[in-house]
Amino acid sequence: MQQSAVHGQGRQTRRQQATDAEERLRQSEERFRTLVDSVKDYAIFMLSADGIVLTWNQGAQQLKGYAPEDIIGQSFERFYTEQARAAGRPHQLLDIARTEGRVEDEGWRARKDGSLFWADVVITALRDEHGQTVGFAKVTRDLTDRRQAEQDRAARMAAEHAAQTFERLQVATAAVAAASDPKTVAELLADAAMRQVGAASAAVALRTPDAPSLETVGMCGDSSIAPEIEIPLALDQRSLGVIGLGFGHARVLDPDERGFLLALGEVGAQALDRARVYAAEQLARTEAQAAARLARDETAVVETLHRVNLALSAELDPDKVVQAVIDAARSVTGAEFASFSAEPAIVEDGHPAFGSYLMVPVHSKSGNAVGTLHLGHREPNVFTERAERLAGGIAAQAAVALDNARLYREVQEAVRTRDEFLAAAAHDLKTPLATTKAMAQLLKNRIDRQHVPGMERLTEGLLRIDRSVERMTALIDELLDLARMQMGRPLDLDLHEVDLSGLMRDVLDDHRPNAPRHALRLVRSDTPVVAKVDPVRIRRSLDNLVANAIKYSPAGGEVVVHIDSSLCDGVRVASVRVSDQGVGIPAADLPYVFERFRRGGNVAFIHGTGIGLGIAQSIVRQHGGSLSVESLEGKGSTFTVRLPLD
Amino acid sequence: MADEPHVLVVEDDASLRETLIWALEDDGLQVAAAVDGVDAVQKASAQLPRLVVLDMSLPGLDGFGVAAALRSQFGSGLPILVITADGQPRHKAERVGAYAYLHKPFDVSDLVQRVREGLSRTAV
Repeated sequence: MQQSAVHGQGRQTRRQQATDAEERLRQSEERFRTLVDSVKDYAIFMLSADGIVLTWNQGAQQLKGYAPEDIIGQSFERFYTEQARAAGRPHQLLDIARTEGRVEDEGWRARKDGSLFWADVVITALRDEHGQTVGFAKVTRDLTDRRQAEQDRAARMAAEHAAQTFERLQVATAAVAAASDPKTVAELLADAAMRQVGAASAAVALRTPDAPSLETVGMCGDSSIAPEIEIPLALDQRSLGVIGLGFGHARVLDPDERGFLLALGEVGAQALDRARVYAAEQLARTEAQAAARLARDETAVVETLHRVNLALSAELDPDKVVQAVIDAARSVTGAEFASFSAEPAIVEDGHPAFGSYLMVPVHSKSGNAVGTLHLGHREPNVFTERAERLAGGIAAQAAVALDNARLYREVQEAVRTRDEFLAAAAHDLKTPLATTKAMAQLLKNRIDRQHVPGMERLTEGLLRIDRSVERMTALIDELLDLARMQMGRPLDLDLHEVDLSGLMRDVLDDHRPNAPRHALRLVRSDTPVVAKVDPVRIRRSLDNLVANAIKYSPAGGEVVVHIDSSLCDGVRVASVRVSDQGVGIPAADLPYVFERFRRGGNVAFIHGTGIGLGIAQSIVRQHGGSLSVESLEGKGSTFTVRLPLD
Repeated sequence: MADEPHVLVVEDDASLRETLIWALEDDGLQVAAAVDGVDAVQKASAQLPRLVVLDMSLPGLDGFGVAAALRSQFGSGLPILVITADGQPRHKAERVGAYAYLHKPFDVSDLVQRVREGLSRTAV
């Protein structure tokens, strides 16, 4: 109670003081007004402690559009934009002025008509003798024009700056772009980057193509200062390396510098890539020139080695390779004795009782010692420097030939293992297929006998299973044939009298739905051509020829099949010719058409494995027939199957 | 039923064996089955079959061995129908003196027809 009374009294006292202060303020304002009123370029007015407008001068009226009677007694908040009001900005400013004595602010302010102007505002706290804030003087200036001018100037400066940056970039990179070796490019980049931002050191580290680690290539400035900032050298998102910049003190790049350096990095990466390609070309050219010089100077040596090389590369049996190496080494060096040991060379004290002795290590491509070539002669000083070089060359070739022979054996082994596996797997698949097929048929028989409800769908499903097994069996048989032929084993032909025209008609009918751009035509003689063949295998071969004719004439056209019979050396022969108007086969590839995994040089764009024709040929050959080809690149091909009749 | 012809099916794959039995029984035949070569020889010795359906690839004693054993015991009169997944069925059939062969997978109707054919041979 008592406390409350004391408190109430205190408030009374403060209010009294405030009223006194306002009175004094008004008096001082009178003096103030005459001074202030003459000012037209500034809005100068007083605010009460809680932001109520107390006075209004001419400048304020002109600037803000309010007449004194409109605004005096209103809150000064209405001079602010809606957002500023929402953020509590007006009272924040008063609070600052209250504590700091003064606050200056720049920002958008609203006129009476709602339009905005850019204002410079100074609010000064007015205090009484006790230091109590009794109100504020507010001076507002319209800076819209000045702000516009500043913005224009900034934009102009930015444009000028961008132009300068671009020019600097061009100057810096002209030299970079002109440089033709990666090291020079790297050094120029480091120099340009360092000078641009006033760094103390700059280093360009590059990622080498074969190793992912970075290697410092170009360096300038004080190398004792480690790089603190790195600029990527990236090309198509591929990192070629970095430009590292060292300052020796903490340094933050401004956006402008960063932009310049990133652009420098981009141009630099392009230049580096170009320089690398150029360097590689240079190197290749130099090597080619060196090789040519060597060839001119030492034609004999090279030719000898070439002959040895040919002899060695034809040999795939390791023992024979060794013998060929020994023979070649002896004949080219003039040695009386030559041998090859499979142990690496061991240097002992003294050497065998030869007048001349030459020992050449043989290293495989992987660097392993494969063996040693020993050459000897009873006479001293037989082995000249040229003989030594020749022996070295032969040793190098021996390594390659031995490697090849070993690889060939491994490949043969791998192919054999694969083929055996394939044959066994295909065979094992047949038993479950037999169950599936027979069971589907048994179930179908039951359903047929017992008239099960919905039996049509059941019967149809079981027929589908049966036909799928049929198809899978055909595929497995094809795999088995393939494996068997690759193992060099003959097929067990199941021979029947077959009308080739009928067979071919079926083949063409099969392909027609999938070859809308091709006209498939069968031309046959009046008499049927009946041959004793394995219908499944021959059909597969003919199918392959027709499929190829369609596949290798991607633009469409005619695929014509001629079937007739004729006498050839007293034997009646059926011939089936499949002709297309497709891409044809380059003359250089023609002799290899039937080799496995060989495909024409002009058909890389067409999917294929390069085994179909080889298989077709072996099947026809096993029937005692032949498969041949005529072709003109760009005109088309004709494949001819000849089969003996009778 | 007792005088129905008796067929011995020799097949190591259980599923296919059951299927073969089912197929032949559906046709009114009396069927015994053996799971491998040794089992086949034992079953045949216990009760002489009138016909043998013989899978050639069996574990241990294979089709050739089974045929040789049967021939030595019962002579060449016992008809054997060979079933094989291999590429040279005719060759194999000839080697074991089979009257016919079936290639896996086969049609049930072919199986039944061949078995009937074999049984009529012995009947003559």
